[in-house]
Amino acid sequence: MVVQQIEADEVVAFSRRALSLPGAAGVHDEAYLAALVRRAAGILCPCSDRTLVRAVLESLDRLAEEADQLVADVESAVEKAMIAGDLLELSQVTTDDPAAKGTWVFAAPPAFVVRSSGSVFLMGIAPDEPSPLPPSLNARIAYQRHYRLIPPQPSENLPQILRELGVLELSEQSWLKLPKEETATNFRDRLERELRTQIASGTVADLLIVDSTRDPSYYPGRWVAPKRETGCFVARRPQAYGAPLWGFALLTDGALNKFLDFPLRRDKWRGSDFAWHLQMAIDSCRGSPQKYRRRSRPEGTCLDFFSPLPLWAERRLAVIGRPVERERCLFTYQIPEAELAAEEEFLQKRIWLAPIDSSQEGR
Amino acid sequence: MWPAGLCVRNWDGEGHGDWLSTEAPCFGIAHDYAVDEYYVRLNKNARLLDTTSAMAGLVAEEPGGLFFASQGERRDALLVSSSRGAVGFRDLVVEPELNGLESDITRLLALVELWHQARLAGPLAESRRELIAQRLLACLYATLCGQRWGKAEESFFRNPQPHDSQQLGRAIEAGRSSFSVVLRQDNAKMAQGTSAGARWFGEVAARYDVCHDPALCGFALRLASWPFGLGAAYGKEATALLARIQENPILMRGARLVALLSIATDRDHPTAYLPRWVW
Repeated sequence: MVVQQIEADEVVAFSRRALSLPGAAGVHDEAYLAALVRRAAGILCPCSDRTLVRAVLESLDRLAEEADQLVADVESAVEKAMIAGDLLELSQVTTDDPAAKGTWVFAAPPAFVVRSSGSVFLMGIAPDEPSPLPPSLNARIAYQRHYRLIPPQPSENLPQILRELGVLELSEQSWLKLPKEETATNFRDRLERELRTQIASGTVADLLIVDSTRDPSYYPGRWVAPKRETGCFVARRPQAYGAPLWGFALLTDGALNKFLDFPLRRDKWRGSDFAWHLQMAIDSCRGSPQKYRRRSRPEGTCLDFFSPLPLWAERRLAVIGRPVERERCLFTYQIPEAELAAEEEFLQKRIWLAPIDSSQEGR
Repeated sequence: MWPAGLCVRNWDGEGHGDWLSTEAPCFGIAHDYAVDEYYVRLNKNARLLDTTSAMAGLVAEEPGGLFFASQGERRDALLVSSSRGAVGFRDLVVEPELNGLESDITRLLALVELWHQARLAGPLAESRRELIAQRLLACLYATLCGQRWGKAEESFFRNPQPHDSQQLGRAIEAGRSSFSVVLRQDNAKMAQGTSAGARWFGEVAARYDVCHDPALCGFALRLASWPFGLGAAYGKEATALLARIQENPILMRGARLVALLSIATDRDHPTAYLPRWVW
């Protein structure tokens, strides 16, 4: 074997080939980052999500011109791997390891969900392989940003083929399981009652809260350090090791009185999912619901989102629609016309978002 | 120094890691002082020995290795084992690195054959060969039968009992539970010999619409129980049968289930990895 010096773009090209990714693209390509996260997870899991981010970033060291953007992109790729079902959290798995930590993520076994269009949504990780499929099927994978689909061919039973290859089939119903339905007011009031039953909390340094009065269309700008606020706020508190914890904080004149950690016990969703869902309820109850923007395109209707969605809501969009290039928003999904009404009803009824049309902007 | 473009298994932070044989290992190297050149070495690959130096005699490095020579149709392999430098029990175990082999069944089978036929020299050669052969076979069956089956076999070998074979039955395929139930119930028929056993297995596979070709069923059973000498036994047909068996993982899992049940009931050879059927 000859050792040779190569350029950054050649490294990415070699890497894409090893990951069985078609075509050429830069280091920020979402399909590429998602494949790198799956590979790292196949090697390192169970481990913390930070370990995965570090491992992927190390392998991309000096390959990206915008290092800060790359960190954000890799973090997003890990988050999307959760949504795609490639990674599972401790609450979603069974392990007999007494040393298992709540911060660990686990590589999900290869599985698939059949979409209503007949194509299959692939998820899961086969260690040491880009996918658990033979080359003929690998070549048919359509990479839609972080997600993987296989479109069916006429006269084949794709689910049967995958089952015979040992890939688990998940029903759409169980895969897209939602939390119990309730109104925004009920949800907020229930959590406020639970918060008020907590024992008094000590002072927490570096507490951050979501300021509900700030513009909901700019999510990072809503996070502030408390000053003289009074009331209940979605919050994050730092911990000695690991990412800050999500929760609900009761403040009086800016001082922390009580703190309720998310997720609640026996709740299988992530703390962040719970917090984002609660903030949607709070915004809706305040009469300033979070928005999604409807944009008509020749190829279908795009829905733009400005704040993160709970995993179960975004997973639904990923399975029913497809992620497309975002435009002045956090992320965008294109939804088939036949499913649009049902999906909009879901967004408005289950996570209390309000629609705006792109034509209404600036009025 | 870091692995560039891909993170790798067992990276030690100093340039050692495991890449698949299908990958082109890429490293990033940064240095804070001037250097004239780097010395980069890739190890653990097969090494070609020229005949002159081989005939002149060479010292096998610890812990030894498999030496293989061929000329025309003739071939010979010698497994040399040495452990004089071992300082602990861990050093006595030689674990093979099989990354990348899964994608090439033919090469995997050739390696299984090579290790099986090799003559032995040196202490622990037999047990080292046994372990490496088991790893190769596990890799072979996981590739032919699927990852889920591979896990089920791993679990089975931790406690090889006939009544603990439900997980294997489930791993055959969700929609074919009756196929695995019948194989579990009637696998004692294999005691009548491989000809009668292969007939029975072919009939069950046909009944449950898994495979209607008795020749392929017999081949699956042979591959599941004694994957050596396939070329000699099947001649030119071996390649075609091997290609066809890869398209029918349920049949292969069924054959392997029968083989494993036979191992579990063989009290005289509790640590066997393959059944002691005579082909």
